[in-house]
Amino acid sequence: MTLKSKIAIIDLTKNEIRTEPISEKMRRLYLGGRGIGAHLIYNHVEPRTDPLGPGNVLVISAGILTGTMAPAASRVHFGGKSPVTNGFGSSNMGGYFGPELKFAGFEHLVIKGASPKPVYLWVHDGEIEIRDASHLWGKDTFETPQIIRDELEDEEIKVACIGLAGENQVRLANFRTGPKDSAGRTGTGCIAGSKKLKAIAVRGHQDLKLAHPKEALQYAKKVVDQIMSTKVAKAMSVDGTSFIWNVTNTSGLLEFYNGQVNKLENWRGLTIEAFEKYKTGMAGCFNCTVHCRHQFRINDGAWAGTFGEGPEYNTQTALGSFGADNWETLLVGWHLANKYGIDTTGWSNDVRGVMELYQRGIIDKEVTGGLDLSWDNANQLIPILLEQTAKKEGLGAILAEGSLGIIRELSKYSKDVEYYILHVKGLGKLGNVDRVQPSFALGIATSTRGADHLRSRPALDHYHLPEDVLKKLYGGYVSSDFRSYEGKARMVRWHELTYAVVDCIGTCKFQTVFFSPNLPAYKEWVNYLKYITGLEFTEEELFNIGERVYTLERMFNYREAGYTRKDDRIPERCIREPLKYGLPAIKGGHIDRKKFNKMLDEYYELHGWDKEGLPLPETLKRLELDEEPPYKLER
Amino acid sequence: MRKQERDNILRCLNCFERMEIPPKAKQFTCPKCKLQYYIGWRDGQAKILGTVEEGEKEV
Repeated sequence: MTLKSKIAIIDLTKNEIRTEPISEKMRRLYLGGRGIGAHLIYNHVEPRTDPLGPGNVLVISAGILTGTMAPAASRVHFGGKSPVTNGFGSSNMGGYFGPELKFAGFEHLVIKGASPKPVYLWVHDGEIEIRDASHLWGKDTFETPQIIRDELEDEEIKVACIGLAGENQVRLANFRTGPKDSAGRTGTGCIAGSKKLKAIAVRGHQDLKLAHPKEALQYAKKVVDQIMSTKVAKAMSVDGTSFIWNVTNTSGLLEFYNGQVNKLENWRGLTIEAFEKYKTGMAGCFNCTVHCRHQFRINDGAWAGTFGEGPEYNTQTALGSFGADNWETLLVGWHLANKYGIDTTGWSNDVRGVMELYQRGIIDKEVTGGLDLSWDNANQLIPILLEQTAKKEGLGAILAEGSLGIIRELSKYSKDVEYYILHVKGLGKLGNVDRVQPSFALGIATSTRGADHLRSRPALDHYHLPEDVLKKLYGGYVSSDFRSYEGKARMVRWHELTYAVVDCIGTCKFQTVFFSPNLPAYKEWVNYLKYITGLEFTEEELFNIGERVYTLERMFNYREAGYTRKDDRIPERCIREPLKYGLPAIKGGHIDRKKFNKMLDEYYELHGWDKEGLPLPETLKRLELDEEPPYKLER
Repeated sequence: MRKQERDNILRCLNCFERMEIPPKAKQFTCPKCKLQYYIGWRDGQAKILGTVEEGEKEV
């Protein structure tokens, strides 16, 4: 049965492996995926441990429906105590690794301790082996999977691995699988490197038996039709998530040169139309009908022959945000970041910040190792800096420490350094504007993993939906003006809890209410769960699971890093510097500190948290989180 | 009840007015705020490429 997938506890110090079933209670409280993952992280990380020490854990969690016929049910989470934020580390990816993990009989892997020598895990049909990886150490994320497949003589093995960046404990190192997919954020690849864990190889032949197969099949067909009838799915099928780039740049909703400019003047080289020259096709993750993954090949020049899949809009904005003016630079940067295993979003943010320090004369060539960090040099700098970061050489040794490390290292040159390294809780900001939409600002300020859009971003806020529709969706008044603060606390909370449910289920967020009110949400999830697993939940019960998961992550952040209201902040630039460009509706926009704080109060109140953003005892009781170990420890 | 999404309906990025784009149109002016857009068509869907104000940016 789908529900028979197990939890494996793997201790790399003791070389021991044991398995546990997933209890009915755990399902009811945390469902699966990110939810059960959060519960395992909360309970298995030694409180206040060094994120790069053996007391940290790496938890890999497939969703409850991952690997089933639910549309786009491909997702798998990687988490632990983040070496980037010191708080809740969590990132998910699509592709084929998560489903294969389920076919091998496991939903969650809890990897504890640290190995004295490089190892990889071989997970297959209910068995797990810890194998020597000395021969893989130093190999990149494209070579490693093929070497494993060759030695195990099975081309269908799916591998998640780290690259040079993870081995060298670069804090923004990620996990990678296949040609495109990355669990990019919060440095889970760095945790693996600290454990000398190079890769996890999975292969399974076990059935995920369905509770009601006929109904499940009929319902999946219905939902696929629903998804494919939306404009957003059609657009993504042709242009991937980059379909939106022209619109955001034209509006003035992208940040360039570290947020000094919000519209790219020389933009023709970065449009999705300009990408056509490199495009060779579209591909999809497991059981996806949208197929938003570009396939590309560079045919000419120094990088001729380079091919791959992606990038996403997010990487397009990240690598395209510090002066690169052509797709080839972005594709090469994307390829190298993947090869080394580096989070393009966080890394780009940190490089942008350091380049602005150079622009302002706060640092010079003595600090940069002789590199000229002028914006005009972006096309040349991207490959150089990625390699230096992965190898921790030159300026890369500083970049490898992430936003907080860069601030620590460079603040000796000026007290203003923190102003220019844009981050929330240590995680770098995206290349999107967050200062004209209070909902976006609140979302990144309160996200449990730092500045990020996939925890709560209400993209719907830009659709100007009728207020009666918004009221029905969110259960209270929400202004349809994306510049308004009215009701936005309610909106952000709804999205963060809803996205937590999506992450427990294991489907792609972009095929849910994230992008359109016409895409699947609670009603569809209740039915999937019933037909596929036999578990019956109400929509309210699922929403409560989302709240429980989010609150537990919040508890972890306080326990491990002491994060409170003071850390639910946005970069000062978003408050002090109005946007200089864009359409009349955008230009001049910035976040008002007083209104933001009022919105934060409303947000805490809706959550049942106190003025400092900490869950109240009655909230813990309501969510049955009083059964978890206490989060307030003696400091 | 879900409404049928139509491939030739766009919203003005500035004032959010719904704009019904005539088939194959390459430019369109928002009836409310008068902002002029370059329009592209991808797989039968209308798409904003940029504003005319940005100048010589037709793709």
